Order: sequence, then structure tokens, then C-alpha cells
Amino acid sequence: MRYILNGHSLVLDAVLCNGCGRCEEVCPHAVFVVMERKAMIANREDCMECGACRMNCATKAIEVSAGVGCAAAIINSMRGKNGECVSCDCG
Amino acid sequence: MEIVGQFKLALVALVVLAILDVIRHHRLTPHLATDFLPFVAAILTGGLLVPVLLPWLPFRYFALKGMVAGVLLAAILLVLLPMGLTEGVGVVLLVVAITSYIAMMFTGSTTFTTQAGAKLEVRRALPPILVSAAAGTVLRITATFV
Repeated sequence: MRYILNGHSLVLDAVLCNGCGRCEEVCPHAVFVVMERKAMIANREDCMECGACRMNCATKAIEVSAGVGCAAAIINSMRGKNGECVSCDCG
Repeated sequence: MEIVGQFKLALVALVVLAILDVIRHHRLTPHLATDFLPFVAAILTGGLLVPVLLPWLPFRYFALKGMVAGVLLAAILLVLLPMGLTEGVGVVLLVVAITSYIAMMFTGSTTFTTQAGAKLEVRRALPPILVSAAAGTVLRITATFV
């Protein structure tokens, strides 16, 4: 299933990429494919912007605005609940 | 969790409906049960039916998925329950607002929603949900006095 704005903030710098394949390994939705020692975004629409690729990229070639995709958390932060933290209080 | 979370809403609705019942009939009557039914049905539809039918409900916005389920439920309620025009419109607006809101809360329970998407959805869906809920409440209360 797909949501709205999936992979909207995902950016891959092909120059910095060394083709190690960690992004392909850690991505839960198979967004990346590594071909000829370079990663490429093959399925942007499947990206849930979890940030696993960015965290595991040794050369900092990936940028993504990661965060919890939860309306309850957004509403909580709009109401000033939990301060700056976007949380739905579900643990 | 979403059903338990809406328990407070159901309790408030029950108290308000009980007051309206007493105002209209000068005592509590069995009408209260049928008056309360749309609220229970809306909470169960939004909290149970929507997540079960999630892949088959149209639209990517969860609030719209909830709205579709709410409109279907409202149509069933209008057929089953005897309601006047004001009460009927009020109940439809309230039911759709409740199912839509609860459906939107399920964005946090999936593995494919994004924060940017959830922010956009809240920004676009919350105002019409609140307007629908407010208008529905006013009409439902007004229906007691006409």
C-alpha cells in the first residue's frame, strides 16, 4: 500500500555513494537497487521515510527527513503536548 | 486502542443524549438507546471496520477512507432508524466526522505512512472534520426542540 508524499524528501547523492549496498540491505521497502557499484532509488513511492538508509550510509550520501507518520502525534504537537517532540503517546 | 480511546467521546455523547431525552420526554425513555446507536456504530466502524478494510477502501488519505465508511454507515442508519430531516443531517455529519477522525488515527499503525504525508493529511482533513462535527452537534441538539 502507498500513502501520500512517500519518499518526498529522499535524496541520494550519486557522487558520494560508494556502492556498499547497506541502503539496499536495511531498507524495509526495497526502495534502493545497487547497480555497477552505485545505489539508485528504484521505488521512491514505496519509501516510508524511516531514515534507516541515512543512518546506515557510511559516506552520508543519503538525506531524508525521517519522522513518525502518525496523525495523532502531529495533532499532539499542534496542541503543544509533549513539547517539541512529535509523539502519539503510544509508547 | 482507537476504540478504547474514543470511550470518553461515547460517554459525553451518552450524557448529552440522555439530557436531550429528558428535555423532550420529561424522563429517560428507550429512545436513548436508538439515539446512542449511531455513535457506537461510528466508533466501531472507524476503529474496527476501517482498519480491516484498509486496502480495499478507496483513496490514499486515511480520513477519506474513513469518510467512505462513514457515508456507507450513515446510509444504513438512515434506512434503519426513524429520523427527521434535521436529526438525520446532524447524525450523518457526526457519523462521518467520527469515522473519518478515527480512521486518520490509524496512520501511526502502518508501515507505509510518512511524517510529511501525515502532516499534510492533518492540515487538509482536520478542519472539515471539526466543521462537520460542530455542525452535526448543533443540528442534533436543535432536532430535539423542533
